[in-house]
Amino acid sequence: MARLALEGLTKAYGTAPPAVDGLTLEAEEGEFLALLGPSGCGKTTTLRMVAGLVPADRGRIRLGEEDITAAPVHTRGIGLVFQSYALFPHMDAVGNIGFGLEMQGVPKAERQARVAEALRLTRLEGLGHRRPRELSGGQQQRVALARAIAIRPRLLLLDECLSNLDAKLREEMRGEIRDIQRASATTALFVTHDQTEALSICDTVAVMHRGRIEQRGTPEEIYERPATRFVASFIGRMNAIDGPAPVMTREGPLGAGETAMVRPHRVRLLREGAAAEGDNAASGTVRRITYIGDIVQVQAATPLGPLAAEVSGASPLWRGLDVGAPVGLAWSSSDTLRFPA
Amino acid sequence: MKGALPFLLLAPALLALVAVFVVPIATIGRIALYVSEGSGAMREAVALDTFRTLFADSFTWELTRNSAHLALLCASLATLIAYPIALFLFRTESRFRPLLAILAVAPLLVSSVVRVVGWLVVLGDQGLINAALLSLGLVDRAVPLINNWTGVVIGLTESVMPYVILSLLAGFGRLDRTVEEAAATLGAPPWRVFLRVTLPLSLPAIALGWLIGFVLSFSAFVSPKLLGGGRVFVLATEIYDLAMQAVDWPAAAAMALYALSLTLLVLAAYTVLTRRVAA
Repeated sequence: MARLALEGLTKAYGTAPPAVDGLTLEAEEGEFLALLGPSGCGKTTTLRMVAGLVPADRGRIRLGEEDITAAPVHTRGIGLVFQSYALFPHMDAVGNIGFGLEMQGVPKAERQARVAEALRLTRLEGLGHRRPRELSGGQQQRVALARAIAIRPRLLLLDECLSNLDAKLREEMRGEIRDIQRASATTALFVTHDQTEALSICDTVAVMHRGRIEQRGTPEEIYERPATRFVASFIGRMNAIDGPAPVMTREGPLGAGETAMVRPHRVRLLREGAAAEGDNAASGTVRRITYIGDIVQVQAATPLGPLAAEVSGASPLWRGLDVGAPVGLAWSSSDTLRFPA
Repeated sequence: MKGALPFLLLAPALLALVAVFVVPIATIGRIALYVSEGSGAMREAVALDTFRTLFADSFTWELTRNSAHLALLCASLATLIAYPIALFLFRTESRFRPLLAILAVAPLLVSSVVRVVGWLVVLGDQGLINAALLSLGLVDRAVPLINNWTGVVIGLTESVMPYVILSLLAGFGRLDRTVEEAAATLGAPPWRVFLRVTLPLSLPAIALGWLIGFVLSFSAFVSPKLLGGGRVFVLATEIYDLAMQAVDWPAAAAMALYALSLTLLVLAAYTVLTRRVAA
C-alpha cells in the first residue's frame, strides 16, 4: 500500500514516436486508478515500466518514499495480473498462489494459511489442487488475482485482465476485483481500453492518448466534463457539430474552427409539429433507428449534419417512426461542449 | 475414388520406405537365421545358432556396456552444451537469428568423415590443442586426445549436437516469456525463475533432445571407428568388423538386430515415461 507517482516517464521503441511521452500521473494510497485509452496509446508500456519489465528511457517512478525507476523486477513487491494470466502450468492453484510467498521466504505454516485466505477471498475453495488447464477461464483469472494479492503487494497492476472473459463473467469479476481491492486497501492501477470497465470500477480514471495523459478525474468528471476533444469523443457516444453553426454551447456561441459536442441522450426527440424547447434545435429526417434494448438511438440528417438522439426503449416517442420521417431535435446549451476543432 | 486419394499420395513415400527400410531389415532378419560353417561358408537355414553364440559370448555384453556408456555420456554432454544454445536461439529477437540458427546446425552440412578428419587435426598429438598446450609449457608430453575414448566422446558429442539443438527448439513450445515475467514480479530473482519455471517447463524438450542424442550415439559408427583408432569397441564397429573383415554375415546380422532392438527398447521406455508424466 503506497502512493504511486510517475514523473515524466518516457519510452520510445526504435525511431517511431515515443510509445510513452513524458507521462506524469499519480495514484493516491489505496486509490483504484484506471489507465484508459485506445489500443496503441502506450498504456501497457506504462504498466510494464511500473512493473519493471521494460526499462524507462527517461523519468522517474516513485512508490511511497522509494524511487524504484531502476529497481530489478523481483525487488519491487508489485502484484501484476497479466492479460493472459501467465499461470505456472506445472503447478496447481496452491502452488501458483504460494509461489510469491515462497520467494519471500514465508515459513510453510504461514504460507498455507495465507494461500487458504487468498483462495477464500477469490472464492476458489476446493479448487486448490487443480492445475491451470483444469480450471475455467474465470477460475484461472481468479487464481491470477489471488497469486498477485497473496504477496500483499505495495501496488496491484491489472493488465486488461478481464478482456478474455465472456460478458456475463466479466461483469461479475469487475465487482469482485473492486471488493478485493477495497478490502485489502491496495493501491491499484488498472489498464484497459474498455471505458465501461474503467468508469464502473475505478475511483479515478486517467485517459491516455498518444503516450500522454489527456485528463485525470473521477468517472463522472471524465464523462460530464471532458477536458479535451479526444476525451469527449472517446468516452461514451457523442454528436459533433463543426462550426460555424447556429448552436449555443456552455461557453458561448459556436464559431468557425470550433466543434460543438452533445451526448445523444441529452438530445430530445420531437415529433412533427411539437414545439421546440431548449436553446438549440434542428429539424431533419430520420436516417436510421437502432434498437439497443434499454435505449433506442434515432439518427437524423439535419442542416447541422448527422445528429443522434437517444430515447428510452419504453418511450412512445420512437414508436411508429420510420426512416424518412421528419423529426425535430432539441437540446440545451448547458449540455453542449465546445472544443477547438 | 475420393477415399483412395490419400493412399495414392502416400504411395511414393510408402514404396520408398519399403525399399530402403523394410526390405533390408527383412533381409538382415533372414540372414541372421543362416548358419556359419567353421570354414567361413554360410549355409542357408532357419536356425538360432548364431543368436545362441552371440548371447553366450561375454564380449557381446562388454560391447553393449561400451555402447550404452558412450551413448549416455555423449547424449548427456551434448544436451548440456546444446541447452543454453537452443534457449538463446529460441529467445533472441536479433535479426541475425536465422543466420545463428543455420550456424548452429551447420555441422550437418558437412560429411561426418570430413568432420572426423577435422577433429584429427585439432586433437592429434601435433594438433591445435596439443601444440598450444606444449608451447605454453602446460604439459611436457602431448595429451592423448585421439585413438581413445576421449577422442570418441569429443567427436561424437559434437556430431550429435545439431540434432539435439533442433529437438530442443522443437520441444520448447510450452515455454512462455510472460510466465517467467510473472515469476519475476512475484519476487523470484533470475536464477530462481530459471530453476522453478524455465527448467521445469523445458523438461519435455530436454527429454526429447537427450533421447535423440542417445539413439544417434548408440548407433554411431564413424566417430568410434575413426577417432577410436581401433581401441574403442562398440556394437556398431563390431557389426562392421564382423561383416566386412570376418565376413561372418549371420553374426553381423544377428548383432545388428540385437542393437536395433535395444534402440527400440529405449524408445518404448521414453514413450511410456512421457505418457505417464503427461497424464
